[in-house]
Order: sequence, then structure tokens, then C-alpha cells
Amino acid sequence: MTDALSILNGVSPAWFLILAGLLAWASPRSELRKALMLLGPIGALAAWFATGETGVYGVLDLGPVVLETFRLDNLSRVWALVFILISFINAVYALHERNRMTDGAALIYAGSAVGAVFAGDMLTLFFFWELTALASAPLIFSVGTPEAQRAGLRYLAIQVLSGVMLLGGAAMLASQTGSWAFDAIGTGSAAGIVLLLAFGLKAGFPLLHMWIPDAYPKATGVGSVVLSAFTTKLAIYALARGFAGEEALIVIGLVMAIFPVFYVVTSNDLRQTLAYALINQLGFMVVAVGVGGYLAINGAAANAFVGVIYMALMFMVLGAVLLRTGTVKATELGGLYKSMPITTLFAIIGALSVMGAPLFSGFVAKTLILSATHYEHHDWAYTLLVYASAGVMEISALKVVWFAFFGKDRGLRVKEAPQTMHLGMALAAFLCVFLGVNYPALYGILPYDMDYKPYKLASVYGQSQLLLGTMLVFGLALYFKLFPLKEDRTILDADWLYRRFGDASARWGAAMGQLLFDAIGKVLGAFISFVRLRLFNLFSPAGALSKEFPSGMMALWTAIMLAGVVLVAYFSPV
Amino acid sequence: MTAPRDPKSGVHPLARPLSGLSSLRAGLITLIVLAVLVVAGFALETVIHDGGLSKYPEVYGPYELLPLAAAAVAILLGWGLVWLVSRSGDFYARAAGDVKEGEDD
Amino acid sequence: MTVGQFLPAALAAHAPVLLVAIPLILSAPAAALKSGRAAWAIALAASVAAFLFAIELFLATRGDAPAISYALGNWAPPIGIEFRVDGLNAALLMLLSASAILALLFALPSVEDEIEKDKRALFYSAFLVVLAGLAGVATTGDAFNLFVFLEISSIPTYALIAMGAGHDRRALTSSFNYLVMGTIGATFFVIGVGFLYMSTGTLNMADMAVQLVELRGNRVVEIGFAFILVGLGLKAALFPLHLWLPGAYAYAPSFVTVFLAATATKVAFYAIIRFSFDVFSVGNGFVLNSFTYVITPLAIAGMIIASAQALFQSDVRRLLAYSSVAQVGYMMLGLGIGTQAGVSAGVLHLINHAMIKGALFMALGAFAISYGVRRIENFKGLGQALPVSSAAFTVGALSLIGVPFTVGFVSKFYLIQAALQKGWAFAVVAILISSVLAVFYCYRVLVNLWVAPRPDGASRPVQRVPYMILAPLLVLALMNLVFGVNAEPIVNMAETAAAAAFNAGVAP
Repeated sequence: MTDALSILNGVSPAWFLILAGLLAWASPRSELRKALMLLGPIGALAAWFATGETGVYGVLDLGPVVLETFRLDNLSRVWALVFILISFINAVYALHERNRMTDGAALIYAGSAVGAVFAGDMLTLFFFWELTALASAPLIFSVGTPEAQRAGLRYLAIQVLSGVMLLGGAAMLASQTGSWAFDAIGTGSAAGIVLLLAFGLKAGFPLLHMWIPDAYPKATGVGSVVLSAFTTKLAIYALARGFAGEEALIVIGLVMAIFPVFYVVTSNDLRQTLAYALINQLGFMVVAVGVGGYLAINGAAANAFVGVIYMALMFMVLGAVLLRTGTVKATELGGLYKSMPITTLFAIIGALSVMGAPLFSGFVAKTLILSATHYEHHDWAYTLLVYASAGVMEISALKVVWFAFFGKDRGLRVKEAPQTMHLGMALAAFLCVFLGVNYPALYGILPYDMDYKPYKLASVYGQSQLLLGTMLVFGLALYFKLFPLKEDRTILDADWLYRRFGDASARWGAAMGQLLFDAIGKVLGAFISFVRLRLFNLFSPAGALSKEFPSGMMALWTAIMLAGVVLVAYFSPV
Repeated sequence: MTAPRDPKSGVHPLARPLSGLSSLRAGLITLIVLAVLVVAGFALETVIHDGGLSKYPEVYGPYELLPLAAAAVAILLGWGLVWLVSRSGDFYARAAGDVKEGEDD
Repeated sequence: MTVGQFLPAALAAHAPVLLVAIPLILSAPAAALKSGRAAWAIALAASVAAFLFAIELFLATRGDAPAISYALGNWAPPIGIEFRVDGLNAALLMLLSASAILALLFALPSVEDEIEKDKRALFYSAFLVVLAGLAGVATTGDAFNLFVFLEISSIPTYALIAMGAGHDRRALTSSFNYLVMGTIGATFFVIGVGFLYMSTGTLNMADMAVQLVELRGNRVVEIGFAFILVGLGLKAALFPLHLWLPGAYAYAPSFVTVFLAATATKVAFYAIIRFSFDVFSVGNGFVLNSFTYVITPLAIAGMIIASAQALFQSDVRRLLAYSSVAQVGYMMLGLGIGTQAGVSAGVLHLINHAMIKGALFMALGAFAISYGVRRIENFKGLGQALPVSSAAFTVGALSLIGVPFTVGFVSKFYLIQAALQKGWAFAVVAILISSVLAVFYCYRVLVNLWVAPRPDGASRPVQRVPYMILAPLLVLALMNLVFGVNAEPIVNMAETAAAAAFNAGVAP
């Protein structure tokens, strides 16, 4: 077994996924594409196992810079493994779908995420960072509606902007240190701040988060599964690599963990609810990165690992609902457990994982972060995270399960989801339970060795109290009709700034700018015709200032610039 | 939580035994069971605060009650948010010109 | 004199002058011919000859080889006219003649589509004169002679642009505009040369440089520099002296736009470098201060404002024309930095921009021929109809943005490094802002090209793109990628050029 795999030693798993994706784009037959979607992750997994030794592989020497395309260490291998796993699960889940664009894009997206995780230097990171942006956009575009087109453009613009900032920050850093290596960065320099913002844009920092609830609900059913998995978790990896132990991240993470609660409660689109829940989970990980230390980084890695799986499971469930009913709005769904009981079961497993119920994967991962904040004496962080897990995590999971599958029966009698979707969800659900019960399997792959027992009586007891209590609160709110979700409303978020305010300002600015330019042109025109009439008819004949005919204006600029150069020259030292 | 319009048709065979779950009574029973469990849990913790149930020596008692109150407050504050910043469901679609009919916002 | 690199020694010895003379002389028979195709063949032959001489000169100026000095008519330099070739203008001559060949390949189908039959021979003849003029500007070592070649290249350019009138009457006004402004620029330049002649008593640039060392603090020299900088700045479309450029690029025949975009402003940019570094010297306070306080702010303003203007264009050629103004800003920024690294980055961007815009305008020409569209909204679904040309356009656009593994990335990278070495963080910010704007304006086009579905009532049937267009287009697109991955050759070329610019001058 190991002998057969040894030829793959040192080959980055990313290439398998990207190659499979390119082939999938090229292949017209969907059977072939589906086979590629399954084989790509399997090949990548084989390469992941084959390269057992940590170290740097795939070094490209380009003269001035050396690219390290495959840096396998204890941190990167965790993220890579879960990315490969989820791309396989997604392949199974998407077996029913016939869409050349998304099939290929999902694979390349996964491959570029794996490549970014394995990047040993900033330039490689930048390349894959932008590739994730470009490869993921088709997942939104391929919905085909004008709304999705615009959402895709907004998404792409923000993702590309993040990459540009990454490159800018990396260049600034390289000019200071002379090295393009991607290691601990710190916020001591301007370059560090720029890089933190570049990562933060993808990690959904507060006020930079708006693309997550904007884009994810507009992707295809299958698309949102992969979207939820890679981009944000990749950003968490980059933060853990570059900014571990940065105290400011604790505050940022706490805000991310708390504020989505209001949107989780009020948003009507259930995929948007999940998107806000995702921000909350990212907040936990950002806090863990900010705390630093072995236990906290392990916690961030464990949360990223299980978070990818259970959020993918939740998005898969909603993808199945979307496929069968055509909507995921809370006000249009309800009572689906009668027609989709199997999907309901998976939804409940996913929700229990999200909530962090004992015996499910969320519990064993989240408790690491809570313990880390406690041991490092960040008492406020500890307290607020407990609140956030009650308020946001649990309400979001309860809300999705309740409004889609129970709640008011709207008489939707649809077919159960396709078998292949069930299989994909079953794989994810199995992992949720497996990692929760058999937690040493999860702890074994974490970056640092540790001796930690999640199932202490007190933790289990406290968590159960929290869980049951939140269920009770949620149930009471529903029973007394106090849950603030009555009709289809759009809740404004920071994206309003550019979707309405920015748009309107741009239009206003363009109109005003036009007026201003016209006015300047008129004033200058009057001035120039005055000069021309009074002095000599040096410049072109009549109409010299009309828009198509700017030579008079230009002559003026020439004179101004000449005056400028002469003045500068005059005042220059000899 | 009204009864389904057409109780039998289209119900998945696996879900038939569970059709009673959507009744109001089932909801009420669930709530009561939950309430009993929660109260019993907190009562137990208050009584036995040195037997390994309490997590940290300096904090004991039903301190998990506070997050619950906070969750309730958060849910209720959602009304405030809806009142403040909610717009009609097709707000952005209308702004972008996808929806063209009369105005009702 | 040069040692023959691969041409026979007798030819190689006269390479600097033959490079200019062959296109100039061959323009006469081309004009006399009736057949457009025959004239095209002559033009191509002249361009290939020019390219061979350019390679010869390029090879002869590698490494530490001294500059090649060629005395015209054996009248020794300072008195006679001197052609002088070093690493800087050898690179430019390569670029010029290679662009001419690629553009001419593209020209055959494009000109047959756009120019009336009986004017084609004259068209190619005018093109040869432009080529000779530009090559002359690049080779001459005589300040007044440079003015003459500048005018030789400009006057037929006005005629070439005006020939776009068959498609769009606005070509006439654009051409007239360019004529007026170009004349202003040339006049400024010749006034500046006059001032210098007045104070130094010589027109030979190398000799002038020696004399100028004596004349430090002379106000006349400073005024002369100001006039030359502004005059050449106008020719190079330095913001805000760029107003002639969008119209000229947008309404000229496709072939003219391709060639001009790749070469014309570049030659003026070269002349600025030559005068600033070799005739004057950056050691002079007023040159450096003009770079820092005039060129740099204008370059940055151009990078940002012209990119923003590009964002609002609906005609793709106008969009690319404004983008060209922004790209001139990048080159000028490299110059404004004033260090050897900066000039090297500027020259590198000069070379790269020729490849980028050549590919983009050529792809637009392909769209225009086979589909007849120029506006962005008409590009919908073109990606499916013309996949190869669209892919080439996409490569060019990505390169324009500066995506890694394209040449656009390489030059921005070096430019950022040069700015950081100088400690100009604001320049880096400006480059990034301009790049983000470039993302947006390219994205507008690319989305229509690839994502938007083709409208149902697509009127005109799509014709196949001629191979004569596809071949040079693909060559340019591939060059964008190949040199983006292996940037060594062009970076070396730019560094040699910058070193030549720095070393040729006289230390003050």
C-alpha cells in the first residue's frame, strides 16, 4: 500500500483537484465529469497520505523569488484534509446535477483552497487566493438570474480586492524583511495591518462580513455547500499562520460571535441564517487564533475541521430543500418532515453538531476553545462565547430545523431528495457523529499533541443545560408568537452601504461630476475664448472647446504644465 | 400549527407514524418536558455544588441561566431590528430594477 | 563601428541608418503602386528588414559594449548628424520593428475591411513613413534631427487616423485635434531645442551634454528643459496632455490603433528619458525636482483619473484608450521615481504595455471584422461565438490588470519595488488603486464577453476570424503569458536600457 503510494510523495494534492476540475470543464459528458469529481479528491487524498513527512516540496526557483508550492506541516495538513474530504462529499452530493460549469468550478475551487493552505510563500498564497475567488464565482453566476449575476459580481469584486490587498501587504512586507515567506506576521507594521485586513475580508471580520450573507444565499444549491466550506476557513488558516496570539483578534472575534444573533433571528432566507451562523462560528475561531497557544490553535483547527463538515451538512440539507421546493424562505416552508423525513434526520444531526450537543462533533471542538480562553484567563471572552453559543449557534440551528421541517405545515408534499444527495448528507452526518463520539480521531490530527478529555461531567452537564434551556426559550418564543419572523422582509446589513448608498452615491457623484466638468469646461472655455479674441488667434478655429474638439483646453493645460515645470526648475537648487 | 390540509397524501412512508408531531398538543408536551428537564437540572446543580457538577470552584450555581435570559432578550430585540432596518422582501431586487410593478414599501 | 553579429559586416556597419532609410525609401514605390497587396508586401519587407537591423543593433549593444555611433555622410559628430544606438534605444527599435511586423500581418484583412481600395497603397506608404520617422527619433543623436523625425512620424500619422473616416466621421475631427496638439507639442520641443542651441552652440546631444555641465544654474537651459519636457510629454500623452489620445485611438482604423498604441507614445517616452538623463542629468536639481514635483503627481493623477474615466466608457476602444493614458502614467511614475530601478520599471512597462495593448486592440479588430461591434453591450455572448479571439482578449485584459503569470504583473511588481526602494508608499497605494479600477473596467468587458448570454435577436452573422489576424493575435497573447512566467529576457532588456540611460549621460 505504502509502496504504491510512494510515487505520490511530495506531489501537492491541490494539483489533482485542479487537474480534475480542468478536465471536467473540458469534458462534455456528465458521467465523465462525475467520475472526475469523485476521482480528483481520491487522488488528492492519496497524495495527502503519501506525503507523510512534513517538509517543503514542490519548490519552484524563479530566480528572484522561490515559490514553495507544497509546505506540509502540522497546521496545513489539517485544513487540507478537511478540504479534500468535503470536496469528495460534495461530489457525491452533486451526482444528480448536470452542470458543467459548477462541476469544474467546485473542483478547481477546492484545489486552489488546498493549494493556498499548502503555500509556503506569499506569492503562491496570492496565486491560489485569487484562484479561489475566480473559481468560486461561477457557483453563483451559474444560477443565471440577473440578481445572481450582480451578487456574483459583488462577491468577485470583494474577493479580488482581498487578493490585491494580500499582494500589496506582502510586497510591503517583502520590502522590509526581504523575504516572501509566509510565517508569523504580526501587526507591528503597516504591512501587517494590510495583510490582516486582506485575511479579514475573507474571514468575515465585522463590517467586512457583508459578502457572506449577500453571496451565499444566491449560489446554486450545490454551490453554497462548497462556498461555505473553503473561503472563510482558508482565511482562518491564514490568520492562524500569520497572526496567532494577536490580542486584537479576540475582540474582533467576539464581535463576530455576538452580532449575528439579531440577523440569525430575523433573516427570512434560511441560507442567509446559516451564513450569519457561519460568521458566528468564524468568530469562535478568530477568538481562538487571538488567544494563541497550543490549546487555542488546536481549538481553531478542530473547529475549522468540524465546522466545514457540519456547515456543509446544513447547506446540503437546504440544497435538497431548495431542489425539491424551489425556495428556502422560512415564511414559505414548514412541515417538510412529512415528505422529507430522511433529510430531516440529517438536518437534526447537523443541527445538533452546530449546537454543540455532547456526542456530536461541535461539542468536542468548541469545548477546546472555551477551555483555552478560560485557561489563558480571558474571562470576558469565555463568558461572551458561552452567551454566543447559546444565542447564535443554537438559535440558528433550531431555526433552520424548525422553520423548514416542522413549524406551520404549508401543505408542501414534495418528493424526498435524490438518493445521491442522501448519500452525501449521510457521509457528512456520519463524520459529525463519528468525530463527536470517537474524539481521539479528531484530536490526533490537530497541529499540537495534547492530552484533553472533552467529556468531563461538568462540561457535559453545563452544555446540556444550555442546550435544553435554549430550546425551551426558543419554544416559548414560538408558542407565544414572539419570534420576530412574520413575513418576508429584507433586513439591511452593511452591504446596504454599497448596494444602495454606494450605488446611489456613485450615480449622484457621476451626475455631479459631469455637471462639474461641464462647468469647468464652460468657465475655461469662456476664459480661453476671451484670451483668444483679445490676443491672437493662435489655436484652432471656432468650436475648439467642444467635447470632441479639446485642443484649446489642451493648449491651456500645456501652458499650465510649462509654467509648473519652469516654476519647479526656478526654485530648484543648482 | 394547523392540521395539514390533506393529511395522508404525499406523506413519506417513514413519516406516517410521526404525523401527530405537528399538532399543537405535541408542541405543548415538548415544551413542558423541556421545562421540567431544565428546572430539574438547575435544581440539581444548586443542591449539589461540590460533586463534580459545578465546573469551577469559584463559580457555582445555575449560572447557565444568564445566557438563557440573554437568548430570550436577543430574540425579543429582533423585533427592534425588524422595526429599524427591515424593508420589503424584494427591496434590493426593486432597487436593481428586477421588479417593476407598483410601490408598496 | 560594430562588429557584425549575424548580418554581413558591410550591412551591419550601416545598420543604424539603413534601419531608418529602408522604410523611408520604400515608401515611395509603395505609394506609386496601384495594388494594395503589393504595397503591403513592400511594407512588410521593409519592416522585416528593419527588424533584422534592430536585432543586429540589439545584439551589438548587449553587455558592456559601447554605444554605436554612426556619422551620417562621414561628417564627424558634433558638426555632422550622428546616429547613436545604445542598450536603451536598441530595445526600443526591437519593439518598434517587431510591432510593425505583427501589426502588418494583422493589417491585410483589417485594412481590406476598413479602407477603400484605391487608398490602400497610399495607406501603407504613409505607414512606412511613420515607421521611418519613429525609428529615426529612436536612433538619432542630434536634437534638431530628432524634431525633424518627430514631424516625419507625426504628419502621416494624422493622415492615417483621418482614414478612419470611412467608418466613423469623427475620425476627421480627432485627426485634426491631434494635428493641432501634436504641432503644439512639436513646437514646444523645437523651442526648447532652440534655447539649448542658444546657450550651448551645438545640436549634437552628446556634445550638448558636455557643454551643459559648464552651464549649471543657467536659467535659459532650465527654460529649454521645461519646453522640451512639456513638448515631449504631450507627444507621450502625459496626463493632462492626453486629450488627443482617446479620440485618435478610438476612431482610427484598427491597424493604426494597434500600431500606435504599441509604439507612438513609447517613442516620445524614450525621447524624454534620453533628454532627461543623457542630455541633462538627474544630478541637476531642476531635473530631479521636475520629476518629483511635476511628473510624479501627474503620473499618479493620470493612473487614477484616466482609469476612472475608462470605467465610464461604453465604446471599448475608448475604454482601452483611456486605459492607455493610465498606463502611460505607470511609465511616467517609473521615470518620476528617478532611480535606475524606476527607469528600468518604466521601460519594462513600456515593453509590456506594447504587448498588452497590441493584443487587446488586435482582438478588438478581430471582433470588429467578424462581428462589427465596438460597444460593450454588444459584446454579449461573444465568448461563445469567437472563443479564440475572446480568450486572447481575456489574456490581454488579465495582463492589463496585472494578474500573476502575465507580463502586466511583472512590470507592476518591479514598479512597486522601485517605489518602495525610494520609500514612496503613496505610489504603491496609487498603483493598487489604479489596479483595482482596472479590475473593474476589464471586468465590465469580460463579463459581457463570457458570462452574459447572447441576445436572441443577434443581427449580424458571425464570420470566421481570418488567420492573418488570429496568428499575430495569438503570438501577442502567448507573449503576454510566456514573458509573464519567464520574465528574465524582458527584465534584462529593461535593465540594460536603464543602465544605458544612466551611464550615457555626463556626470555633472
